[in-house]
Parts: sequence; C-alpha cells; structure tokens
Amino acid sequence: MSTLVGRGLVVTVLVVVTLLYLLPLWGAFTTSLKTDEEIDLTSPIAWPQRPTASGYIGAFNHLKRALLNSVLITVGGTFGSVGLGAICGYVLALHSFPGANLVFLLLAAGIFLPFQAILIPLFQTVRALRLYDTIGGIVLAHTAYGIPMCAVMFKTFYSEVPKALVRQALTDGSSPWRFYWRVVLPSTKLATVTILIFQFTSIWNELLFGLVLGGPRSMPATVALNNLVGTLAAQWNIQMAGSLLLAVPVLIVYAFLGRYLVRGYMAGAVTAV
Amino acid sequence: MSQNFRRKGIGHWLSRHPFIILALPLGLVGYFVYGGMFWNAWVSFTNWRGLTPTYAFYGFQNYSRLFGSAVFAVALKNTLLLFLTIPVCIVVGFILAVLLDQNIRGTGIFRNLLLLPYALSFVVTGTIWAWMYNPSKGILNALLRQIGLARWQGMWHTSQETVMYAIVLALVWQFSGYAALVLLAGIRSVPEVQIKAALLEGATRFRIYRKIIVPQLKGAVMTVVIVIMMYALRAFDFIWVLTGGGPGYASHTLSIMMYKEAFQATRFAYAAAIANVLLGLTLILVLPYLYWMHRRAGQ
Amino acid sequence: MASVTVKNLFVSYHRGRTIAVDHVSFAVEDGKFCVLLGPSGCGKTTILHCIAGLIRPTSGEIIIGERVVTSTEKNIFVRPQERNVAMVFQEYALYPNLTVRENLAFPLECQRLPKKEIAARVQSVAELLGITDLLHRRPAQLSGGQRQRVALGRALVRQPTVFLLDEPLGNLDAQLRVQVRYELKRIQRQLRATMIYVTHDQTEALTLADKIVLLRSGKIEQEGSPQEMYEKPANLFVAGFIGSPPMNFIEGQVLTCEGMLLIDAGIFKVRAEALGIAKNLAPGTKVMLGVRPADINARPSSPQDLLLPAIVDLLEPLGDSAVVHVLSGNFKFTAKWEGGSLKPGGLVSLFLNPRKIHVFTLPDGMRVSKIEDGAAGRAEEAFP
Repeated sequence: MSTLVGRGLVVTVLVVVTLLYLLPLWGAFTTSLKTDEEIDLTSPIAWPQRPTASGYIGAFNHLKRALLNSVLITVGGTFGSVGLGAICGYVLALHSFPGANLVFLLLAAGIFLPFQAILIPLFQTVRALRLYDTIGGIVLAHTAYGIPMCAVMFKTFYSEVPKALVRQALTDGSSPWRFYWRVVLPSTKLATVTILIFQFTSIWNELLFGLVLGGPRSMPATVALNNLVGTLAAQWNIQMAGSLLLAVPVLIVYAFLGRYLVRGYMAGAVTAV
Repeated sequence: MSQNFRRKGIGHWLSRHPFIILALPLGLVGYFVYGGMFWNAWVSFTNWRGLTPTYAFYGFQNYSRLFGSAVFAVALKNTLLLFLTIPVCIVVGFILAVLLDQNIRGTGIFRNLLLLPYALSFVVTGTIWAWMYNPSKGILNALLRQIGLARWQGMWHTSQETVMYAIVLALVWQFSGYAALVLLAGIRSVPEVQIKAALLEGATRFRIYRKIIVPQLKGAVMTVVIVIMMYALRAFDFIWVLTGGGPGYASHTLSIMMYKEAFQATRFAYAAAIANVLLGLTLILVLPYLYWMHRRAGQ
Repeated sequence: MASVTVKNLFVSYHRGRTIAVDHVSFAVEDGKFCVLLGPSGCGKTTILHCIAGLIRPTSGEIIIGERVVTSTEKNIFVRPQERNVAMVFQEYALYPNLTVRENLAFPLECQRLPKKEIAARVQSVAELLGITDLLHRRPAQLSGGQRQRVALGRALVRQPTVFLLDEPLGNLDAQLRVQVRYELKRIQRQLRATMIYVTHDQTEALTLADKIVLLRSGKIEQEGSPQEMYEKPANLFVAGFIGSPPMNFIEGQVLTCEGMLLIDAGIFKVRAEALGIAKNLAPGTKVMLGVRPADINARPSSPQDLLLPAIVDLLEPLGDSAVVHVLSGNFKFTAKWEGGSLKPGGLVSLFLNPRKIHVFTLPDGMRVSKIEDGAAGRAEEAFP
C-alpha cells in the first residue's frame, strides 16, 4: 500500500509525538538522578551534571518492605485469579451444561463492577476473617475480583480449541481433566502466558485494595509510594526514583514480554470490556 | 458399569457435575461481587458508622442528604467531566493509528512507546505528573519558560479552575496509546482485499478511510469508549495520588468522595449510598453496551 | 474493450530467492475469454495482480489495448485505478457497511459521475444479473451466490476495458458453480468483454475459455484453445492436468522387430506406425503412453483397435455412464463405460484406438507429435 501522505512526514510526526509522550518519563528519570540543589538550579529535563544514586537509595530504603509485600501480593493474586479463572473458562468454553450462559453472563458482568460498590463489605469481611493488614487479605481480594476478567479471557481463548477435538477426546474415554492437562493447556500456552502477564501487571499496579486492606505490615509498594509522596513533598529526586522503582517490573515485562501484554490488552478489550 | 465408573474415576464424575468444580471460583465471585453489592445496598439504608456494631434502618435519609450535598454535586460533575477523555482519546488515537498504519518499517517501535504509559501504574504516573505540573519547578512550566511562552505557565493541578482539565490531559496521555492500539487493530482487521478492490475502483486514500475503513471501526471505537468510560467512573488511583481530591473539593469524583467518607470520616452508610449511586450510573451506561454486544454476537 | 499483452513478466520475492513468475509471455485478443490455469502456487494470481497493477513486477512489460501500463525497462507504471480494469476477487471484497446499491455505486462515485447516470448504470447491471430486489440489502444478508453476483456487478458497472477474475467461483457450492459459470460465459459473450480468469479447476477452464494458459511453478507449460490442450497436450504435465478423470499412463519402450518399429508397453505391443507418430523414434527409447479414459471403449471403433482384457476392480456410477477402474496385468487404469452393467471382479474386454494414444518421450516428458497435428500446429506458430 502506498502512503496517505509522504513517508518522511509520517515518520517526522511519529517521532515528534513519541518524544512528547516520553517527555514526562524522561523528566522523571533525569530528576531521579539529581541532587536537591541541582533540581533547583537546572532544567528538569536536562541530564544531571553529576548523576547520583542517592534518590534511589533513599526511595529504596522507604519502599523495600513494601516492594517485598507487592511481590508476594502479586504472585499470590496472579496465581489465585488465573488458576480459578482458567477452571471457569475451561468449563464454560468446552463443556456445555444447563445454566452455562447465565453463569458466563454473571461472570462477565463482574468485570464492570466499580470496586467502590463492594469496598465496605470487603473491608468488613476481611476484618471478620482476621485478615486485615495481612498479605493474605489483599491476595484474597485480588483473587476474587480477578476471577471474572480471567474467566472471560480464558473462555475466549479456549473457545478456539476445536469442539471436534473435545468430542473426540470424550468418546476416546479421556476424562475432561486429563484432556485439559494433556491437550488444552499445552496447546494454549500463549494464552496462559498472556493472561498471567495481564494479571501480574494489573495487580502490581493496583492501589485501592492495598490502601483499604493493608496496614503498616502488609502495604504494597503503590501505597508506600503514595505515602512517600505525602511525607516528602519537596524531595522530588526520591519521589521520581520511587516511582521508577515501582515501574521496574512492569518495564521489564514490557520490554521482554510486551507482545503478550499487548495481546492481553486486546483480549481484555475484545472479550467483555 | 461400576468398573467403568472406577476406571474413569473422579474426573469423569466431576465432569458430570460442573458446578462442583466451579464451586470455589463461583462462590468467591458470588460472595464478593454479588453478595458485596447487596450488602452494600443494604448498608446504604442504615445509619451505620462502621466502628459501632449496632445500627438502625435509616430509610432514604442518606440519599436525601447526598442529593442535597454540594460536594456530591461537584463529585458527580467531575466524574462526568472525566468523560471528556473519551472523545479526545479517540481522535488522538485514530490519528496515531492512521499514522501507524502507513506501512512503514519500524512503526512497531512507535506503537510500543506510545502504549508504554498505559502499562504503568496510576500511582507511578500520578507521581510523575505531579512533578510535570508542579508550578514552581515542574517540567511543564520550566519548558514553557525555556521556549519563551512564560505567560502560558499555569497552576495546573493546584488551581481549582484547571485541576480537572490537567487530570484529563494526563489521562489522555495515558490512554491514547491504548486507543491507538485498539483502533489500529480495527483498521488492520478490514480485509486487505477490500482495500485492493477500492484502489482498483479508483477510490482515493481519503475515500477508502472515510467510506470503508471508518464505518468498520464501530466495534473498536465502542471498545475504547467502554474501557475509558469504566475507568472514568471508577477513577480513583490517579486522582488520589495527584491531588487527593483537592485543591479543596475541586477534583473530587464519586469514588474519591466515597473513599474519604468511608475510610477517613467512617460514615459507612453515607459512603455506601455514594457507592450505590456510582453503581447505578455504571449500570445505566453499561447495560445498553452489553445489550448492543449481545445483539452483535447474535447476528 | 481491449487486448492484453504480457511480455517477459518476472516476479521474484525475498531478493530473488523465491520466483513467483518466471518470464511469462502471452497475449489475449480483444473480446476473448482467457483462463490462467494451474495448481496453487503456480503464479497465476500474481500475474493477475500484475495486470491489475496491485503488484509491480521485478521485470517485464504489460500492455492493455495500445497503452503500456507496466514496463520496467521504460520505467512506466500506471497506477491501478488509472488502468480501467475491474477485478472480481475470490473473497468478493464487498464492503460490509454498504448496501448492495452502494457497493455497486462505489466505483462510479469514485469517478465522480453524475448521480443520475450512477443510478441508471446500477439499475441496468442489477437487471442484467437479476439482483434488483437485493439492492437495499447488506452483504451479510446475502447468500454466497448472491454475493458473487454483486461482486461481478461491481466489476460490470464500471464498463472497464478488461475484466480480471480471481477464482470467482471458488467459494460456491458445486451446483451453483455450474449455473454461475454459464451466466458468466453468457455475459462475456453479450458484452464481448475481454476477461482474464484465474482458476485451478480444469473443468472451469475447458468450459469457459477461448484460450487457456496453463502454468506450473511460474512458467507456462502450454497455451492454446481448450480443444488443443485436450487433444494435443504438449507434455506429461499438461496431459495429466487437463481432463477428468485424468489420463491413464503406461510406460513403454521402443523396439525393433523384423525391421518394424514397435512400442512395448507390457500388456500390449503396438506398431509405431499405427500410432501415427510423425517421426521415427530410436530403438531403446523409453516412452510414456497416455490414454484418456474416454478413448477406451466397450466396442471397437476401427480394425486396428487394441484389445485389452481386464478385470473390473471398482465402479463409480455417474448415472448415465460410469467410470470403471480396471486391472490388466499390473496395469491399473480407468475407462469411461457407457455399456451394460458390470460387476466388480468380472472380466471385461476393452478396445483402444492406437491413433488416440498420446506418446511422450522420457525422461523429458515431451509430446511426440503426430501426423494429424501438422496443419493445426503450424497455424498455432503463426500466431504472434
């Protein structure tokens, strides 16, 4: 296909727009490497004359406990929601049973739930279970509210497994679970990776559950960073270093597994939302 | 028969009873999503303060207080103002998608970089935009001074007049890459043979976009609308980090107001009423979409 | 309408590592129906796209009417929309968001014709194709055959100089295919349109074409009228590709016996003279003999006929006739059977006119020309 406008013009516009989009991130990066004095004296997007890691050291000292909490919460919440979502997706996609449509509809509708509408009952339930200010409480919330999205995404991916294959396996006498482990799971590895990564980044990035259910012992890094911003109002280098530290896992995933993340965004968008 | 049953084992038995397998996930969703919704609705009709174990039925008093509240009016207006993000993102996203579709080598890199903000946590971007908008030392004003537009400097998120627009601008930054991704996928899903045929028939590039590609983007546009709308309704993280709802009440949204009432003022019942309004608003906006999706899937 | 000439067309991909079209030349006269035939991957669609201007060839020249539209040598490339060619795609390429009427009008709107004329032309094409009552529908509401008609109508409405059709019947079921095939031929005759038609189906080619260009691996194997292709296949590939059920082949060797030239095919021996081949073959030459199933008969057609006693292996009844698979010695072959009933395992006597045997030399597989080829063969050479 030929181009709508000149190639050169298109590339120029794209370069300019992309630089504009990256400007806030670039500014955050340069600031994170500066001392307080240099922040006062130089342009915020200028490269520091003497880059220093002091911002990162300061931020890490504030966030290290919370980063560990985040890792535990994210791993737990990801496996919980993806595991249970996969079960739902598999049963709904490949095994019809009475009421399957209603179950699917109720699951899919769960995606649109505004969390504020269940925040108070959630808070009360977690307190009653004596899980307030524990990693477990936050993992429970992420698992429960992650299931609808995972289930719908898995159902979409599993629906691509040919129905004839299912009929064949069942007439061969294979149990549905053997069929799942031997055929469905191996042949949809990409889908599993996609959903794992999608959930991983969603839970890692999330603030509200940590804010409501977490306390000093269990708060995830998003909450800790927000507190840091509140207490160190003027120390921009530490704030920027902190936000970039928080972004590191996502940036790594983006750089190396970005393909899957994009697929996840598309699947998440197309399936239900 | 019994031997057969033993051979096929428990997996076979479970397969005949899907609800047993689904019990745990469906139980969690049933309790936390649907149970929570009804519980919350019930709470909104009481006078519960959260810390006290006792409470009484309170009728519609929470709602009548809410609808008379000036803060609620601001929060509702701001929640709807966030919808401004949707058309801006679609326009910007569409332009980016067309540029990315121009079959030039290496546009994948641009797409990935433009999508990067969408992958980041709102806590990260909120912190970064606080620095962008900082009136004295922040990036935006510093840049405006550098390029000689000092009089365009603003108070951005620290002024009551501009704070919501500052938030919308930052959200456009974060969401338009995503809009571009979805619209680009929509453009690419138009079969190439249609474009070939149109070229042969003498259609200009502009006409191909206007008459053939854009009308087939309905689904993609709908997706973008619904995703950003859902975000706008729930909007909490970004605003909480950037402004905390301030200055004053200027950037309160329904979700910020609800959080503050529940977990700072511990007026649980009143907060539950706000949450219920939010839920009602979501239903009003989402149900037509779900119906539309259902009809489209039926076709 | 216009003629189309393709000269030395060469298309390669991946910097020459893949050759899609290898120096192909042919010409289509004004108002003729030309079929580009070949198995998938033979380059036929690529050639069509080159003519349409959707692909720039690596080298070569294409002339439509008097106008050079592609020439790598003269550095000419006319853009597809300026070639005034219409194309019908296998996928139909109907615009799903437009109604049938809007689909038909689209190319005319692109030419900025007055509204009145657009309406009139859409109407007349709709009448020609019998789709007037579908004009308000959208493609999703049409059956496969109706969509095919709309796609054809979209080409017709433009009144182009050349029609290019890329497997237009490929997505139709068998019955509909026969019907649309007939209509297509009728319309082509009526409009005296120049059509270039791509297919892998030899029956379509034989029934539709004034001229067939048979391709394999980007090269022309043979071109000519359907009759020539059927009666005088230039080589083993053409012989095997054209005709259904396909030609029977049996290997043989040239021998001399008492001064006479014989061909020994194992189950029968035949005098070279009886085959009517135009030149003498050297003794010892290996040959492949080919016989069409239709040329194996239940009754002798001449005194020279060879008799083949055979055992019936399998019968495929076609209603009025049958295809019979038989065994004669180690030789398995098929014959078209129009006689009485047969039973598998039964014996049958079949007759074969040696004049109808095609002879190909091995290993090159080229046809050994026959005495009766002469006149027609020379006439073919005279054609530019």
